Amino acid sequence: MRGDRLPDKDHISRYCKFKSLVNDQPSGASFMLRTDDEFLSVNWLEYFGLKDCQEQMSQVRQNIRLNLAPRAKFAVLNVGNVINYVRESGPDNRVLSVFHEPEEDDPSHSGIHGYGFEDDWVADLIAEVVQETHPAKEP
Amino acid sequence: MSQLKKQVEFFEDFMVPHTICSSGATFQGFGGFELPEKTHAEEVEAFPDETIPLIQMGLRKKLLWSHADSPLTLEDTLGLLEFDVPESPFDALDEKLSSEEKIRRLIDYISDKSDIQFAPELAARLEFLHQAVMEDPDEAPISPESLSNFIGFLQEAPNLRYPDIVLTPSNEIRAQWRTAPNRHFAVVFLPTGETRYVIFTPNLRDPDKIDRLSGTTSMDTLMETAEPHRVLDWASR
Repeated sequence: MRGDRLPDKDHISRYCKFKSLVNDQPSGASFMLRTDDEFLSVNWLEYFGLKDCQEQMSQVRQNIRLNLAPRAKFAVLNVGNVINYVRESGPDNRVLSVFHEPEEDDPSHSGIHGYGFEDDWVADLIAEVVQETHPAKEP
Repeated sequence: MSQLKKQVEFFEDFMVPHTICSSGATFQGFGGFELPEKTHAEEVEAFPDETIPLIQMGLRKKLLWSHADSPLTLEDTLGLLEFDVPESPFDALDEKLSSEEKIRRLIDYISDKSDIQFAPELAARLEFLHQAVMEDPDEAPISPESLSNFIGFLQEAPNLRYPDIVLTPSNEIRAQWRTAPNRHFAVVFLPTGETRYVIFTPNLRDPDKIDRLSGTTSMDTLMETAEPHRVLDWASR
């Protein structure tokens, strides 16, 4: 439901454009906000009730409202790791939150709240806790 | 030489001679519209392959162009190329073409004229990024002002290694010198000449700990700000 906080044990994926990748891996730029963004768009993988990550990613690919580029990637992150790492590592004990932000055609859509477009250091820390990456397009 | 002076010279030497108006159209089809009576046709013919305004698209009321060898002054040019053309829905496209052309010229500048030591790699990476954003219909071109500032910075800091280069969501240049989680120096070059930087560096007294800093500063003072945090230990050659 909209506004629900995602459990720490759950996972999210972030669509990372090719322009933000370094050596085919997400960089801090993959997690930066645009000036008018209220939160960073991600997808909640456990939302679909599927256990296999590949199946979860297939669902995300089907529903995400973006044109998926062949050279782009999805980064998978653990919710608790993101929140804890930024709080413990950053200079201001920043507390991020991840909320469910469903959209009509993209029911697993969610958002990382708690930082702004100028907080590049938060984006860099998030990039450090990427667990795995998947091709943007189905292999 | 001061950063500002270098920037000005860079623009005078390279950008101004290649300045195109606000669009990036080529000379093709120039004959398809009427010039005012004093056309300076012979001067115009001197630029068969130069870029000129995309006037036929009816995009701009005031269009400038210039050339280093041209007898036309800026004032002449202004007078010559002032057209009272209504704004059109193609304005956005006009802007896009203009930025594309500027990016092309900046990349060419890096390849052909800059003294940046890793110019070939840099130009190739920028070309790659430029193509990537232009292939995406949802994307705007790389910010030419950001790229210009980045080039100016690299020319002023010749000891820096070749960085990883990515684009921010607004398509500004972000350069990153990173060899480990505690040796990270990343900089966004804003169109205004400001920079946003992030530094992760070993703590001076306890190297197992990481100092993490970030901030905004002008391009001129970026290295002065960063050097005390020993970024040159991993970012320089």
